[in-house]
Amino acid sequence: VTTLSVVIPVKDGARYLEEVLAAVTAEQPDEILVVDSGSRDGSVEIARAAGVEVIEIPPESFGHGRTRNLGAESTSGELICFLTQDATPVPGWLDAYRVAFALADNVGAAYGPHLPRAGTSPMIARELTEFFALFSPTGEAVVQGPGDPIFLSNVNACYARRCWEEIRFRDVDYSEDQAFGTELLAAGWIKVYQPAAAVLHAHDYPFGDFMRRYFDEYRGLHRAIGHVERFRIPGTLRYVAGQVAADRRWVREHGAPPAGRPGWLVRSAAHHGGRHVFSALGSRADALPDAVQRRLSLEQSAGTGSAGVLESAVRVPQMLEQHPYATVARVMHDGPAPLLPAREGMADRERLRIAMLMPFFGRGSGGHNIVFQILSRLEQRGHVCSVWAADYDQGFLARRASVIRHEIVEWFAPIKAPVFTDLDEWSGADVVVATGWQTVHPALGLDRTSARVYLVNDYEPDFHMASSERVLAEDTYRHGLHCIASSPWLRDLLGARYGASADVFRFGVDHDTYRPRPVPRRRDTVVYYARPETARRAVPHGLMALAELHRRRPELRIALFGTPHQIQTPFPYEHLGILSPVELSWLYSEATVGLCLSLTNFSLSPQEMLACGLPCVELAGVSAEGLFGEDGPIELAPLDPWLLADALERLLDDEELWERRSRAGIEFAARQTWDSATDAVEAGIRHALRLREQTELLGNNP
Amino acid sequence: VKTEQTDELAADSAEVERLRARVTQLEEQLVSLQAWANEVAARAQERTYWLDRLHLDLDPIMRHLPVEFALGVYQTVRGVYRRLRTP
Repeated sequence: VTTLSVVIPVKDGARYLEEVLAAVTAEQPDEILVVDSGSRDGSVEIARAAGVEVIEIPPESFGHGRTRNLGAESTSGELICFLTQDATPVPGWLDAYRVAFALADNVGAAYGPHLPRAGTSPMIARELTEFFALFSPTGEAVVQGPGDPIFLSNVNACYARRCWEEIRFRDVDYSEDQAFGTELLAAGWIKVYQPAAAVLHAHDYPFGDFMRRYFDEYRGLHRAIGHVERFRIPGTLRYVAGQVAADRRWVREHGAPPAGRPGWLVRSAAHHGGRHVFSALGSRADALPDAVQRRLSLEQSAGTGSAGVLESAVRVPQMLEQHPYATVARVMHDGPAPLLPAREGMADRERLRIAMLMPFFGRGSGGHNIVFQILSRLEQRGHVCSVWAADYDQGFLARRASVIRHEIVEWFAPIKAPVFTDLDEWSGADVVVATGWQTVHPALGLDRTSARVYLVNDYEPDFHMASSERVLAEDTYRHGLHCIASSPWLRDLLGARYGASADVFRFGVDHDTYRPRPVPRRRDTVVYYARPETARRAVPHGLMALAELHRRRPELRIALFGTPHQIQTPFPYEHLGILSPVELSWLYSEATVGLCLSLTNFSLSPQEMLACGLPCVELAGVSAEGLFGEDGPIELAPLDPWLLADALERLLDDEELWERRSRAGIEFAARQTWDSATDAVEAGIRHALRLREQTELLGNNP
Repeated sequence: VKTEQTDELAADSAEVERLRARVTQLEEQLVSLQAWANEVAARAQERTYWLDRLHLDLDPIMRHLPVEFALGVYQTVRGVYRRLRTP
């Protein structure tokens, strides 16, 4: 049973309060609270006599939003009804609200109509009746969602406590209910107009007070939701004429004596015209001097109404179904999804179901080329593969699965696997393979798998400066995924720093493309993979080294590639932009020396240079020695512009050294194939399954 | 007593082997089923590539009244043409 509290803010409300409280009590809510802000007409005594709880607050602390928040905080019902002191519920009021909230789980608020009391002026009575009839012409409860009217009135409204706790009333002078209605819909809640939850209510103010009240209300409306009432004299005249005609019909239909009808029509014209003028003035009140505002305001208040930074803040509606890092949050909070129990022999099954999770990519991504070269060969060996896009980058959101798949085939390798962009479609796999730090937490969230493997192409924390991304990238090595690292250096780093188990695979080379081309080898050309967009490429150091080399050898031809943008350099160079693999192979076959630096793991480029017979210079003391040896096909130099220039010069000057490095490079590259890379990755995947078998089966049966 | 225990162990062992074989068989079936599902999904993605690339959703387009009308006209004309062509 839903519990229900009723909150009534009161100030000098004795005229109707006894009647209101009696009607509310008859509805049998769980609690009734009156919040009185300095009544002097005996309202407090009336409330106490009715047996309801009363909170008294100083008049200066009253605020339409603030005081209602206080009322909600001071009660405990799952539903909180708000009434004004002059709104008398009709029988069945609370039950009608209960029905409204039962219509859907995400009903945040409901409101009912205001019926005119006996003796209410025809203008008000007609407007109230017609206004509420618009929401429900049939008289049935109506659910209102995004795009529907934001109208909500605290004269007679009911809120789900969960919704109120999420949104709360803004501390504004007026129209806190309208602001709530706007924010409620923006936050994904819905509201219900319930015709059966009616109250008797009317604003029977004297003419002057009525106008000034409208000034206050529209000033509040402007401050709450920015509404500016349109005002044009011809339009206003048409509006007033239309309203007077409607009032005339109403008076006739509702039996007002003919003698009094002309009087009502004059009052009607003054009422609608005056109200339109005061509404327009109220919504532009901030442009009026304080003294004028006070004169026009029933509350005699002035000021711009801005109550600080928070109050003037714009609430941004929820745009995403969930934030991009929701998976990380889930894994951090709940831990990884459980793996399937290990089964004996699962590592040796001929065909495995392998799901590869990949981060966002663009054309020419070296890391993705590695992943898809290997995946296409795993498919050729009979494994059943699927590709899952998983990244915090919102770029994937704009691309459909079929387009991503087409790009993979066109740009990287002819895969047969389908591509999925929604992990909610996950149906399980023998092994999940994460292929970038962005994919590890999503992989940890996937269940119905026997093992998780991490294909580590590079030490990715170093791709980021001090940031959440860097911290999360480091975190990926600590979740016990079995790693398959792309170099011995990387394997040792993962083991030593994070205690991760790791195998090694080596990048392959596309020998059909990267081979010595039939073009004369020049003796005066240095080619440099200069991509400033990738910080780990140490481009400033490379440019300093080439500047030094140019100072020593002004006649040397220098060519830069790897970026579409021209780079400002202190030496002349040929800008080659981004080249296709075939173009690169011709460049490597023609040049004398290559320069390719990496502050983390070495990349494919040096191997491809070697495959074309081009000796190159790489950084010493990082990752190259582990693969090429200290005196292998690569000329190594520390990260020092002058020493790098020395290394380049050695290869330019020393023909015997050049020949030796070139020969060794071709021999080394000949051993690097994508088939051998796939052998190593497949062995790593099976190793991961075997580790699970060993830890579970052997661990349980010593 | 020992003989009875040995018989029971042998029976258990045979049951375990039988269940293992069944699990292996079911796993193979699962792999084949997954391969078939992947193939179907991949083929469908190949077919919808240009529609997805151009962000075209044919369902709402085809529901649009003028399109339905045009289709109706086309089908009528085609029907008449076929009748006339048939000797």
